[in-house]
Amino acid sequence: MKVDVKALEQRVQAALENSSNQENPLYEVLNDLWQYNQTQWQRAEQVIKMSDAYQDMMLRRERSLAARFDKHLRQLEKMARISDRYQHAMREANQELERASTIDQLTDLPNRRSMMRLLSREVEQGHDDLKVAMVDIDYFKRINDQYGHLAGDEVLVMISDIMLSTLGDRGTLARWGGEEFIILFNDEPQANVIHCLNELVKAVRSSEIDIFDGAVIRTSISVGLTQFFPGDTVDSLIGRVDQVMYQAKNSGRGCICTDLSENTAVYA
Amino acid sequence: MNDINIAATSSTPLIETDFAGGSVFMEGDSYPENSFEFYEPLVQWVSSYLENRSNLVLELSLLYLNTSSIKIMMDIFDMLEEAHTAGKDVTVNWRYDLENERVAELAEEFKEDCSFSFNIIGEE
Repeated sequence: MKVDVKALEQRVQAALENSSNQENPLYEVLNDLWQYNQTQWQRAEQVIKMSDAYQDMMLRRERSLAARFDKHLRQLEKMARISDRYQHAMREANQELERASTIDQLTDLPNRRSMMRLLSREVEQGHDDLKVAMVDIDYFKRINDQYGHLAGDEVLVMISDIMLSTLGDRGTLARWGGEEFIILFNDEPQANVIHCLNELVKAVRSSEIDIFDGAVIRTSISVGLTQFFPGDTVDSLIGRVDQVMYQAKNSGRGCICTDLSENTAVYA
Repeated sequence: MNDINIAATSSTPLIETDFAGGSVFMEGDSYPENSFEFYEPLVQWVSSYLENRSNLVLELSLLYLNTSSIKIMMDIFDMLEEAHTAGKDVTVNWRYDLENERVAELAEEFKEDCSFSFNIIGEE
């Protein structure tokens, strides 16, 4: 049965307001119950108000947190994008530095540092079929003095190209410094190495190098060849190949000297 | 309100504020050990300035910013954006060397979120 609370309250209020009921023994109990009922209603209203206020505060807080979350998310995405861009730039710069530290800028060949690293690795491994050639361009100072340093640079580039294309994958060519180059041969029989170096000497000798002012330069290379022996260090290997290269210079230039046999041989 | 005058180091930018003239000048790289501590005076200065005054120009010649410096700059730009929304006149002039396009790209990232006047000025 559904109770009409409002109507019931009106009936109670009317009964309490009727003065003829005040002598009734139930009057006092009804009045106390009515006062208690009123107090409970007031409390319920207070609780409802507090609950509404709390909900309102939570809603405002949620809106504020959502705004802060959106702001931080936007900032985070932006920072990630900028950071990615920096990382990309740094990677490119590192690659450029790595290349600059191992490649000769003029000839595009591996540089001295790169060849030293390779030689150290081979010597550490005690590679017993390692042969090292040192190549020096003959009369290079004369070319520089006569035609200028730009022409000298052109000659270095051209001879590097000639040697690289003639050598192919038979050995590793690097610019050692100035007009000197080093070639490393791994597991190539001695006869093949000497044949290859002869090809280099002949290729350079038969080349005409056009320089920018129309002049044509012809030159030659002197080559020293040695091999790794147990106990060798990079320094001892380089020292020995340098010596035999100078023997080639002293033997008239444009030739190859080697200490691979008992007697120093001159080829080309 | 005291102005800020911080000399540049290899890892922190020059920072100069001018309350009377209504400007902030920053120049150099920014990768301090503790960016939040380093930039706290500037953030406080900008916040207080915007409460009291209605015109502010940021003259920037910043190059590299580490991640926490980027966060600080975004917070400062957000303050400027709020001030702009409230009707204040704020401007950022970010100058960069034309040969350093990366700085322009960085400035563009910041500009994206700003509706106030944000000028990226390439210089020879």
